[in-house]
Amino acid sequence: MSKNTIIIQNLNKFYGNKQALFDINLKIEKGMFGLLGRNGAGKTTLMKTLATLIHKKDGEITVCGVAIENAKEIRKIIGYLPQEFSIYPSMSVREAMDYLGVLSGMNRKERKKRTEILLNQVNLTEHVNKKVKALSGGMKRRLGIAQALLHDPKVLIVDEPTAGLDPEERIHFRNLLSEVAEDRIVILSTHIVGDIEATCENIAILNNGRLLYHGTVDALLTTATGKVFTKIANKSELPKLKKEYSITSMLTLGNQTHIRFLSDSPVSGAVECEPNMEDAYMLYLYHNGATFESVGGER
Amino acid sequence: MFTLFLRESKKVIFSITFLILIAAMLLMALSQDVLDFNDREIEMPFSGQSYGMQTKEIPEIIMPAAITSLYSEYKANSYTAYPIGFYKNVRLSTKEQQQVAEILSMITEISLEELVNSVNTTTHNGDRLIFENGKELASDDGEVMITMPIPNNDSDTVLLVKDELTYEKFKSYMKQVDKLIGGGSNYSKTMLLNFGKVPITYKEAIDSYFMIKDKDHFSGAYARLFSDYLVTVLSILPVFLAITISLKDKRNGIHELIYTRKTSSVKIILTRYISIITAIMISVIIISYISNMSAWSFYDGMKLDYLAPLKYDLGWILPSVMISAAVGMFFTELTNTAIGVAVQGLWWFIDINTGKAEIISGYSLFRLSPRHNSLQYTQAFNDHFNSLIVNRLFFIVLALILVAATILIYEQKRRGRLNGKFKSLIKKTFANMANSKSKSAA
Repeated sequence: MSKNTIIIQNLNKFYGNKQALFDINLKIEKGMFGLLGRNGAGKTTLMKTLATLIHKKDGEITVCGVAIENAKEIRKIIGYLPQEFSIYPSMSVREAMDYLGVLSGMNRKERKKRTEILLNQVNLTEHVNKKVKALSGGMKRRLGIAQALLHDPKVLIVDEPTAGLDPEERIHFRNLLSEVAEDRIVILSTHIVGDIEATCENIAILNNGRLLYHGTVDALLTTATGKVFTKIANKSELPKLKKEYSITSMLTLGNQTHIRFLSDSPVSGAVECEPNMEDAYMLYLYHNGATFESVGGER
Repeated sequence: MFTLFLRESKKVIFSITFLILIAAMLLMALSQDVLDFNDREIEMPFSGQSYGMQTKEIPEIIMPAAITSLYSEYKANSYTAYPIGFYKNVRLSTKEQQQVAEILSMITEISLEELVNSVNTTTHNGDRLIFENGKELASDDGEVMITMPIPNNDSDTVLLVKDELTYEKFKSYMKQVDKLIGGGSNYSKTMLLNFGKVPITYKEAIDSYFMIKDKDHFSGAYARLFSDYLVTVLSILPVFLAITISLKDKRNGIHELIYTRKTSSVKIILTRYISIITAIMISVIIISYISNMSAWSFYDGMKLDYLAPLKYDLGWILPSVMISAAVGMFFTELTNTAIGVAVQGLWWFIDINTGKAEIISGYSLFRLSPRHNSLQYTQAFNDHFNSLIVNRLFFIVLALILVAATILIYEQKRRGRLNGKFKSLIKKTFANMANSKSKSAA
């Protein structure tokens, strides 16, 4: 079982005197795994630790049965797409794939075959001779995924891949990740709830270096059941509602405003509704010490 | 590894820094007339012509000439020195002047009192100095007669070298004088030899010609002179290329992508290093052959060493290229900055300037750019050949040690250790320096 699993036990990480990760315990199995958290939550630190780019202070990590200390073996089985993906701008898409394939120890035949398959999969075949500097942001990200999958890794680590992409590109990218997650572990780190909601069954929430939640999306949604309400309010009511409840969305139509808010108990005049991932995530952060304003809500 | 080598070489060859390096090499060769030896045929000397001057370690010539110079500088209290190769006029304190006077009195027949007095008195003939009347000196082969000047009148100061003064003792006194001046003076160990100027004899000239003909097979002499000039630029330029290549990953944000690949740090760093060295050396070899071939037509029917340029490129220039590139890679990986330029630049600057004192057979152990600034002196080259070998091997070993250290640093960085630590240390150091400067200014 551990051959297809990432096990993280009691992981701590310090930057000087500042602790970035606090006693993290996680088990990640095959498929898409979402790592959700605000900027600065420690997601990138955790992802980089898994990618052998950061030295852990203490704790244990095994990736598909290989201890993280064995960096040489880990590098053979992971593919990594960093938050800021870039490559030599003067290289063409084909040259970039070929260069990284060489660094992955692939022979010429393998490189050629995998490059063709992957560029086709990420819809870059017609741009194969284009210089990297001439690619759009979305194309670059797709090239990033292609390069990370080049040596057919068992684990794909993708750090904030959709930031800055337009909605169409984002959907395309999410679908792509779901496809490749069929036969490997894909860890997707993001602060965008929609990305996780659309693709992951299992997630973890990190906040200030601490693991707040680890489980399925459904279980997380269950925790918010009965705590999300909607109400149509007059403009004059808004200040009072904002003061009393945590509002997750507002839609103004004429004189009336449709509001969606969180409350631990039923509210008169408000209708209980099905929680979505964003509601559940914000409620979870709020219940674990984050101020509502700090996670983007209104109060 | 070969595939990676080809990819890395492509990065090197198509970089602007590499093109600048080639241009600088060509410029150096052109400006020093070693790209085309069209008008520099080495001809067999014939009897009766002038064959130029040479320096020889003949105590009977060196001692009086050096003492003359010292006395003159002492009187003016104006000493010439080249501490790091640059001209410096040194003025000594009264106490130091007294010490120089004491040394002069110990090596000449002039009393200390007379010397001290002479500083403040000027004869109507100025500072004319005369040695033993009419003494004649001869070089080893008996051909050169050097007649010392005879005093015209009583007012000339006559400096007689003490009879009991040995050359060894004289050198030790000169060493003391050099120390008083602060080093790099005309009386330092290497500069002292320059007082031994004697004309080249016909026999020496003809011997030199046959050494070039039989040992260098002509082409060797040209290759040596070419290397002498090129090594001076190739002791510094590769550092720029190495830094450009090493910083390229970070600048393009690709370093993490490379860190997570399977290829080992040994392979990545070694391949890069070898591709830098190979690209430079192939260019050097091409240019050196262009240079050398320009002289081949002078020697139709004579035996030439067609491999001479290659031998000198690899034996003479390569170690300097290796160390320069290794310094660049090492400091770039260590600090993530281009500080290697400053390190290598300072080393190179001092080396080039101190090397001016030994431009023929200058192969001391730490000499970054070995010098042999002449088509002649094959004998001197042969005499010091072992020193050259030791020097070159020393730099190859040092370069390989630095490359090994670079590999270790690179692997640590791949694992998230060391990253930025030295960069912040450098920043802190500079900030502290700036602070202390502003404090002292305040």
